[in-house]
Order: sequence, then structure tokens, then C-alpha cells
Amino acid sequence: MKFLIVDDSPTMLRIIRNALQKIGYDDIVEAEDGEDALGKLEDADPDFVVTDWNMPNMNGVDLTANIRDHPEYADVPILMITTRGMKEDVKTAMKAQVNNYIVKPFEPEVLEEKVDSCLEAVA
Amino acid sequence: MSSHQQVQKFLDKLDELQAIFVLSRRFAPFLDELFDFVQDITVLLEEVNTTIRTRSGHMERATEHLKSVTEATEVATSEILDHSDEVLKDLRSIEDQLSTLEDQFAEEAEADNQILTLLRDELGEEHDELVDEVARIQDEKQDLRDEWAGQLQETRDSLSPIRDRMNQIMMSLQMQDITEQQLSSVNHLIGTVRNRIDALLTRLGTGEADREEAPSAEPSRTATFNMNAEYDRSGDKQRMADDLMAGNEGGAPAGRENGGGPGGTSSQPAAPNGASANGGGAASQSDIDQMFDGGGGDSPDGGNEGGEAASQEEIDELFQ
Repeated sequence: MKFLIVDDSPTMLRIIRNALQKIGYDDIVEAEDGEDALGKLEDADPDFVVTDWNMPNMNGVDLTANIRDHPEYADVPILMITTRGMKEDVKTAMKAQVNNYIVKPFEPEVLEEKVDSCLEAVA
Repeated sequence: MSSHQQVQKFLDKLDELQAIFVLSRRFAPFLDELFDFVQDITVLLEEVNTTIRTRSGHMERATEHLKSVTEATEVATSEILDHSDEVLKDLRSIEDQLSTLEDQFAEEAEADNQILTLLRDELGEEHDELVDEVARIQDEKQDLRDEWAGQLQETRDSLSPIRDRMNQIMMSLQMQDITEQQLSSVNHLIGTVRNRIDALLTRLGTGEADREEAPSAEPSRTATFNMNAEYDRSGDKQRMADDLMAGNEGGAPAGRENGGGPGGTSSQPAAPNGASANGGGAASQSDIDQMFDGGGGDSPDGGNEGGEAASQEEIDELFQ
């Protein structure tokens, strides 16, 4: 299972990477914003995308919309991890068709639960 | 007009002039005071103007300080993560060594059993006493191995909470990302205030404040932050988000499980470029579109920060 994790914060990239490795996922590609992620999408060929919302160049909502429009990766599970914890934020993310949503700060157990949930939903 | 009428008109004008003189005499002291006041207030306004220009320069320095703080925390966080990685690597190495020792104990016990079996088979009954002595020694060795194995297990058990704490420290470093967003929002506010001051100074005809370039009142393309970012570990927002995801449109009240209130703030309009605004400023077309779209529009800048905090349960319900 290959993960593409997208966050403009190097700290968050490392934290998410460590948390994923802790739950058994070691094949991870990183991108620093939505634009970078889109550029790496085909080379990375991810089975799962974890993305932040607030990022320069292209935010997570736009990235999600772009992936959903992609002929090859439209169905890839997308988990959003963000500081945005308002109802309208969650609804906006849902409209963009993210598969699940985590509000920072998160615990590794929550990440594992959401990853499993996303995988079950697309299975 | 007759000459009489002309004279009368002249006299009327004289009366008016006299009235003006009388009025002027009556108000002269007041006008003097007003003039003095204007002179005083002009000096005061100039002082205020100078102070504003100076303070605006201070704001620029404050912005730079905040940026330095952000960079310093990022470097420090990276160092902590490096050290944490090293500690976790060392822990894994120790656990591997413990496993190797346990495997060696098992192999040694197996070898002892094979030796004993061989002795019994090869030496015959006349050497039972010797074999029994060897068996006794091997039992003592096994007791020692069992004791060491117990100590190894205790050591392994004591490593587990250390690893958990290290992982917890790493997860706690999410605060760096959150505080960075908070500082970015403060910087954005400072920039907005500076712009307003510039506009005020320009209107007063005193030119711009003492700085080289004014930041835009709108967040820059790279100023992507959430003004409402907060290090809230109550889980209230996650529960609300879970509820929404699980299909509970209204969402459960945040904090219903632990008695806390909503972790978020009141409804605010969206800021451009992904920056969530905390009130103030003109609404963009996307803001307006979102408002007319029930608040859940596909904002290209992704920025509607309004509404209540979402719990994880609400999010889960929406996504089920």
C-alpha cells in the first residue's frame, strides 16, 4: 500500500509519516502542497492520499477535486488532516469528496481508524 | 428705485454691518480661543502622526520577529524529531538485542536437552549417576536462563512505555504547525492594520508610514493558514466532524462527551487563498457564493471557516 502525504509543514510530514509507519505503512511519498502532489501523482502511483487543507499554490480541497477528476486516480481514498474544525469546513471537504477527515492535533489511533475506515469504504 | 429707497437700503446695510461688528466683538474671545485650540491641536496631530509612522515601523519589526520565532520553532521541532527518531531507533535496537538473547537461550536449552539425551543413550545404566549430575547442572542452568528471561521480559516491558512516550512527544509536536498558523494569522492582522494606517496617513496628506513596502490587506498567495487553529486535544472538534461524516447533518453539540463547550469560534467569512478569516474585511465573490450556497460551497480557496466545531463522531456519521 503506497501513501502520498501532502502537507506544507515539514514537521507535519514527518509526524504523519511516523504515525503511518507505526501502524505498518512504510511505502510513503511526500509532497509539499497540492500542486506538488498533482505533479507527483502518476510517478508516485499512490493507493492512498493523506492531505492537509491550508497549503500554498494549491490547497487540499482543490487537490481533492483535481484527483477526483483524474481518470486514473478518481477513486483513490483521500483522508484530510487539518486544523480546520468547523462544521462548514467538514461540509466543504465532504463536497470535495474526501473520504474522511481528521482535525489536528490527532492521535495515531485516530489515524489508523480513519485509514482503515477509508479502505473499507472503497473496498 | 427712488433716492429715498436707495438711502433706506444704504441705512439697512449699515445696520447689518453694525450688527456684524457687534457680533464679532461678542465672539472675538471665543474665536481667539478657537484659534489657540486649532494651533494646539495641530501640534498634537503632528505628534500623533509621527507616532503612528514610528509605530508602523515597529509593526514591521514585530512581523519580522514573529517570522523569526516561527523559523526557530520549526528548527527546534525538527531537532526534537531527529532526537526522537534516534531514541526510537535505539529502542528498536535494544529490543532486537533482547530478542537475540531470548533466541540464544532457547537454542542453548535445546542443545542441553540434546546433550542429555545423547549421554543417556550412549553411556548406559552404569553411568546413571553421572547423567543425573549433568541433568541436575542443566536444570540449574535452565533456572538461570528462566531467571534471565524474566529479567529480559521486564526490560522489554519497561521499554514499551518509553516508546509510547516518545511517540506521544512526536505527536505533541503538531503544536508547531498549529502555532505557526496562529503566528501567520497575527502577522496577517498586523499587515492589515499597517495598510489601514497607510491609508489614513495618505488621506491626511502626510505620506506613507516609514517602511518600504506595504503588505496587502488580503493574505498573499502563500499565506495559507487557519486563523482559528488551536491546540485543542479535547477531541470535541473531531467528534463533531465524525458526526457530520456519519451523516448527522446537524452534528452533535461539541463537547457532549466530556462536558466541554465547542472548541471553535463563531461564524466568520472566508479569506482568500485558503486563509480562514476571523471576521472583518470585504467579502469576496467566493465568500458570497458560499453564503448563498448554504455555506458548503466548493470554494477554490477552500476558505469557509464559519460554523460550529465538528466532532469526530459527526465527521464519521457524514462519511458512513
